[in-house]
Amino acid sequence: MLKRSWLAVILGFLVFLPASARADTTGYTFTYADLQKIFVQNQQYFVLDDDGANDASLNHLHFTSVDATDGVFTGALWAPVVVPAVAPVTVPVFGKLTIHTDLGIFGLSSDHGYYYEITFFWAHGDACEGQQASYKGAITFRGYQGGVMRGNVAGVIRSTLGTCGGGDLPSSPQPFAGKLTK
Amino acid sequence: MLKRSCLAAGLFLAVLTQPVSAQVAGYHFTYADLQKIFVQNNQYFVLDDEGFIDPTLNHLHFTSIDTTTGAFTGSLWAPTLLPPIPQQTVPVSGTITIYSDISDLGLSAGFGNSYAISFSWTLNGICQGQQAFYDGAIVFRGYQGAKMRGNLAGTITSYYSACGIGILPYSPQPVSGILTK
Repeated sequence: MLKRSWLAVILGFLVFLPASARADTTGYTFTYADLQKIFVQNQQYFVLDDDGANDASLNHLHFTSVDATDGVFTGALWAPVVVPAVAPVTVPVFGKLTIHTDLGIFGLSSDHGYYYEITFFWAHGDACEGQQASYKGAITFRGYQGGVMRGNVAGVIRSTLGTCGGGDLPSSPQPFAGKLTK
Repeated sequence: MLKRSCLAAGLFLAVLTQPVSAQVAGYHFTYADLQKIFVQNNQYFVLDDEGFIDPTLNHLHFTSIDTTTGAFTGSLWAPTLLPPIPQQTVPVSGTITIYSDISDLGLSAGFGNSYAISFSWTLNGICQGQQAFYDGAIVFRGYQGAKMRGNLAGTITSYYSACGIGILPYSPQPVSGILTK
């Protein structure tokens, strides 16, 4: 009886899940070393244009290094347009990519590939007036087109502008989304 | 000395405000304003993930918004997130939270308020179910005709559970889109 119910559940589960999901995501099971290849060796970067609302020539997230064992990365954000505004400069960022597997509590896989979290922060300015921002989001990889892995990132920026005399001016949370390019 | 530093801060903010307002309209919306935009004017989000998702799917509509708390009910038309489900209208419930742009010293830079949005849904069948939680933020980018433009980005945390299988994770996934009508 137990075996039958297991079979029914697994068959039902397999019928229920696969087809439409594969149409949306390719289901990659990347390692940190793979991410390093994509972002550092192949120099792919995110254009954070907020679904077309920002100038696509600004807000570029580049990766300088990705640790192949733990996903810790360094990089740069070219001309962030998030509030509070800063002059168009290259802002160094520090963060972490975290791979979440698709394995359930009983060790079964949903077979849709891994999930990729991204967090990073930056500090910009001087002692009297400076911006601090932290980002938390997720990435989906959507398959190669020629030599370019396509994908997108979405999440939320929390930032404050510290001023002498004005206090810490908040502008959080703000949406932050874009796509992977080269 | 205090006056001088206030003046300096004011000048600094004046310098800042110009490029900011060029990008974000800096609205100070109340929950009642949000109810007008999302419920009375029927504006909704098309969550197409930077063009990767068919824009006829993944629509977030608002049915009601509490004008004092921001608690809302709504629906998601044809979510394409994992785990996949047949096309249908999924009821959602959540909260929009307004954060002011006032500093700890009571000053405003004129950035406008910030808007967080969280919502969840649950789909249950016989011996299986799905739970999803969204956490994101909205920016309003000004009217074009009668339509407020804006965008939303955040992440979904979702799980599928079934008898004998336990809980399978599908998280986190990015979700972003634009406000339309």
